[in-house]
Amino acid sequence: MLAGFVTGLSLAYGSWTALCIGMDRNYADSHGRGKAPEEKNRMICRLLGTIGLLLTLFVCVKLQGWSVGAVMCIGTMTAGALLLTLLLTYAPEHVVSAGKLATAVSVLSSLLWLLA
Amino acid sequence: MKPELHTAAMKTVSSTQAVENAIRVLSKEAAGAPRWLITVPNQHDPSLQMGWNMAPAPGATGRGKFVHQELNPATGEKLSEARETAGGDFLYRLHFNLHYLPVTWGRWLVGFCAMFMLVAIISGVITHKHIFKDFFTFRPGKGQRSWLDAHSTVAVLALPYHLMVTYTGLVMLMFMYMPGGVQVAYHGNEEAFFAEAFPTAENKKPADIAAPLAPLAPMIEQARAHWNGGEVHRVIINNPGDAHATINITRQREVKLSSIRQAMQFDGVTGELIKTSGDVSSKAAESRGVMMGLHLAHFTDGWFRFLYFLCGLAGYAMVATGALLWAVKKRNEQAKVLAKGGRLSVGLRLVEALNIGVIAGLPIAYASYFWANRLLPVGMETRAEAEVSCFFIAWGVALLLAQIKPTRRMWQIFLGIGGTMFISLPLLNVFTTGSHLGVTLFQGRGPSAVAGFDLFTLVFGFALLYAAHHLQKKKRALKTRVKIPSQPVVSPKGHEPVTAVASAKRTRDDLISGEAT
Repeated sequence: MLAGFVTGLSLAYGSWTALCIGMDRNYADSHGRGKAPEEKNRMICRLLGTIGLLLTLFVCVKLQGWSVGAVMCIGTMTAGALLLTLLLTYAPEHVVSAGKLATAVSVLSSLLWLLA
Repeated sequence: MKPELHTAAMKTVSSTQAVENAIRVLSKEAAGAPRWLITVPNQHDPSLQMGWNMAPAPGATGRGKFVHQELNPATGEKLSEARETAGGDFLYRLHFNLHYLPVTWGRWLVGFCAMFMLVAIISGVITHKHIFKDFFTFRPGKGQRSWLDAHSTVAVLALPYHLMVTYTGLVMLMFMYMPGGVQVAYHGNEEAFFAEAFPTAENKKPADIAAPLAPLAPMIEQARAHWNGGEVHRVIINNPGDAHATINITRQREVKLSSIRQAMQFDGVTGELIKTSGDVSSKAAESRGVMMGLHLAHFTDGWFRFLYFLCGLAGYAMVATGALLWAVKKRNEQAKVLAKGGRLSVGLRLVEALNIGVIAGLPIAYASYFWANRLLPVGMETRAEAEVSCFFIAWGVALLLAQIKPTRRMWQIFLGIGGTMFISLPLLNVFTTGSHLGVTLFQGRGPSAVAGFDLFTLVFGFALLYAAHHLQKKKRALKTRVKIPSQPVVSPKGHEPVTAVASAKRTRDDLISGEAT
C-alpha cells in the first residue's frame, strides 16, 4: 500500500514538474530570468506531464478500484502540486532535478509495489 | 484520547468471540432492558463498545436513558478505568452541531455559513484571472500580492476538495435545510418518506412472553457468508429475552464510495433471517450515499486518508489567508489616513482582532483541549464537559485579548503560546500516559495512529513557532528600514515614491497592528 502510494505521489509530482517547466514564467523561475523554453521542449514537457498525470490516475485506480481510486487520484495530485509550489518558491533552481528524482523514485517504488 | 486503551489495541480477537463476551455481560447486567447495542472493535476503536437503553420512564415517549460501557474484547472485563472524555467526538460534533446551542440552531448556522462558503468558492473561481498561468505561483515577501498568491494557490490546488466538502456537507443535512420537496410529495408525512427512501429493519413491540435468546455465532457466520466474508460492525438486539426479540447486524465499511452499509435482521428466538438491506439500493439513494461517503471518507485508511487531512489543512489556509488578505488590502487603502496619524476604521480593527483571535487563537484552544485531556484528574465528575470548557475558555480569552490589543506583538505571543503547547504535548504524554512516543515509535509497539498524532503535534507546534519567529525577523527588518533615512521607499500602491520620513511613520503604524506582509 505504501509503495503504491509513493508511486502515485512521486509520479504526480514529476508530472506537475514537467507541466510547470513547460510554462514560460515557471521556466524562467527555474532557469534564470528572461529565459524561455524552446517550442519543441515546451511541447515535450507538456506531453510528458499529461501522460504522467494519466498514469497517476492509472496507479490510483489499480490501488483502490475505479470509484475510490479516482477520488484518491485527485488528492494525490493536490499533494504533489502543493509540494512543487513550495519548492518552486523557495528553491527554484532545484525544481528540474527534484522532478527527475521524483520520476526515478516512482519507477523504483512501482517495481517494489508490483513485484512484492 | 483514552491512553488506557492503547495496550488493548494491540490484541486481536475474532468478532464472534467479542460479541459473545458482550452478550454474557449484557445478560447479567442489562436483563430486561429493551435494547442492547454492541460495536465490534475495529482499528479506530480498539475496545468492545456496548450499551443498553433502560426502559423509558412511565409516561415518557421514545427510548430510555442509554448506559454505555467499554469492555476488553478478549476477556469481557470492564475497562472502567478508561478516562471519561468526549475525545475526537467533541471536535467532530463541533463542526456541524456547534456547542452550547440547541442542535437545530447549530446546524442551521453551520448550513448558513456553508452556503456562503460555496458561493465564495464559486465566485472566487470566476474572479480569479489567471487560474492556469498562476497555477504554481507563490511570491513571498511582496505584501498584499503574496497573500493573494497564497490564497489562490491553496484554493486552486485543492479546489476539487474544497468544492466537494462544502457541497456534500450541505447535502448531508439537505432534508433539514430543504424540506419542501418531501413535504409536498408525501403530504407532510416525512416519516413515510424516510421509511421508503432508507429502508431499515422494523422492530416489533415486546410480546411480554419470556423466551431465551438464540445463539449469535451462527447468525454472524450467516451474515459473513452473505457479505462474501465482510466483517461485522455493530449488533443491535431489540427486546432481548422476549418472544419478539430481533437482532440487527450491520456490516463493517468496505472499499467503496457510498456510505450505505449492508445489514441483516434475524429473529432473536428462532435465529431465522428476517430480511437483508443495503444489498441493492436505488440510484437516487446510492447518489446520496456516494456524496455522504465522499464527505465522511470512511472508505479509505492510512496514507490516502492523510490526503484528506492535507486538503483540510489547505482549506484552513485558504480561509485564513483570505481573511488576512482582506485586512491587508483595507489597511493599504487606509495607509494615507494612517500616515497622517489617523485611526483605523472600526471594521478593519474588528477584523484584524478577529483574525488574531481565530487564526492564532484557535490552535491554543485545541492545545488546551488536549492538555486538559491529559491533566484533569481521571475520576473527576463531568470530566468530559470540563475538557470542553477548557477549549472554550482558552479560545474566549484569546478572542478577548485580541480585541483589547490587536497588535503584531499579540500575533507573536499567541503563535508562540500555541506552538509551545503543541510541542510540549508529546512531552506531557511521557509523564501522564504509558503510550508516549518512546513506546509507540521508538519501541515500535504502536498504535501507529497515536504515534502519528504525537509527531503531527510536533510538526504543527514548530510551524507555529516558526511563524512567530518570522514575525520577529520582519519587525527587525522594518526597524532597520526606518533607520536608513536616505533610501526612498515606494508607497504600498507603488504610485508615488514617498520620503523616508513619511514612510517611517507608516511603517511604525504598521508595526502597531499589521499582518506579516
